[in-house]
Amino acid sequence: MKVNDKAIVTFLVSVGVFTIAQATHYVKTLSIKNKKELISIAKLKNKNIVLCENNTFPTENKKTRS
Amino acid sequence: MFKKFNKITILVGGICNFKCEHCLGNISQEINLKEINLIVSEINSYNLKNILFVGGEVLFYIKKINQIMSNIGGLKRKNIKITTNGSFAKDLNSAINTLNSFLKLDGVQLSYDIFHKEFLPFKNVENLYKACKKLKKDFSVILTISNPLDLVLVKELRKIGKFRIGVQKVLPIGRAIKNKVYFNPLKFDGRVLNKKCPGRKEIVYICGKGFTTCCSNLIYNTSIKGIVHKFIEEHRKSKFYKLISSYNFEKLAEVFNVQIPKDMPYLSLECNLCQYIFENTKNEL
Repeated sequence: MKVNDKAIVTFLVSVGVFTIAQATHYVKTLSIKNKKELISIAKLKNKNIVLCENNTFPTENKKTRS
Repeated sequence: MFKKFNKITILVGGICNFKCEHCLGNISQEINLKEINLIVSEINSYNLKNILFVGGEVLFYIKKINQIMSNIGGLKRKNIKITTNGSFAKDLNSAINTLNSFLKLDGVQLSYDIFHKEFLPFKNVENLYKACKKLKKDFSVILTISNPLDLVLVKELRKIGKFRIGVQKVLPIGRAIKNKVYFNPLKFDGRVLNKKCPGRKEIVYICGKGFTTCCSNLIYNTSIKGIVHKFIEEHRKSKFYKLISSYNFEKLAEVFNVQIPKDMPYLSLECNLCQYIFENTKNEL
């Protein structure tokens, strides 16, 4: 796996969107343009993204996931 | 079993000025006076500290929301938030005036994603953020995704400020089914079986229906009885609540004698799996 693909997998897993297996599978389906788009977000500083598992932000775990 | 809820989400009504592709739709028009009195009484009895008002669009329910708040004991100590589509924030003044029209407001969650983007000018996002900053209210964005590429909006949002962004996956509910825009995890992830209902520590009031812990699939996709109750205590003591708050999905499937197929990726999401279990059991709740 290329470095950029790994970065995308790491990002998607850290945000809670996919598991490693799902993200690895997903990254293979992406075009170069799509990969660039995701890399540009992965590289952002202070992303401050939290996974919301129901209708709102988690009340008890405000830990930033990425 | 979880003993005490400290947060309530109140779905005040279904009226909205947007027609998003992924929306739940099909919600009763608005909360009535009887429901308002019931909600107030339950919030006061349970001393619920965190209150979130959602719609539809809350803009159309400010009067009713204020009616609820005006009867809540110890309102000053409550944490009141709204989820909005931000359509009122056409300019800074409109945003400030609307936020000020709530009797009390501590935070604003803006729904902004590829679906809302079709209806909401980006300027409104900026205006709402600035208004919240000026009025010292917490501001965050709920970004719903049907695909990881929808996260590109984070880049746009970060140009405005350093607020929290909550990522939510579109579930197969309402218009999302018809428009096929729900999140597809591609591969089944067995770890979901070790998880419990993500909403089990919070109570939701759905206008026209009642109190429940389920805010998604079971409510909008099924007609299973025993999930919604008239009172919080009735819900907390229900068989449904006892099961979903005590057991993970593996145990739940075992109790209801349901085999979970491993070739259906969408079952990797808790709410989809929960619906599958309750729809495929022959046991009654």
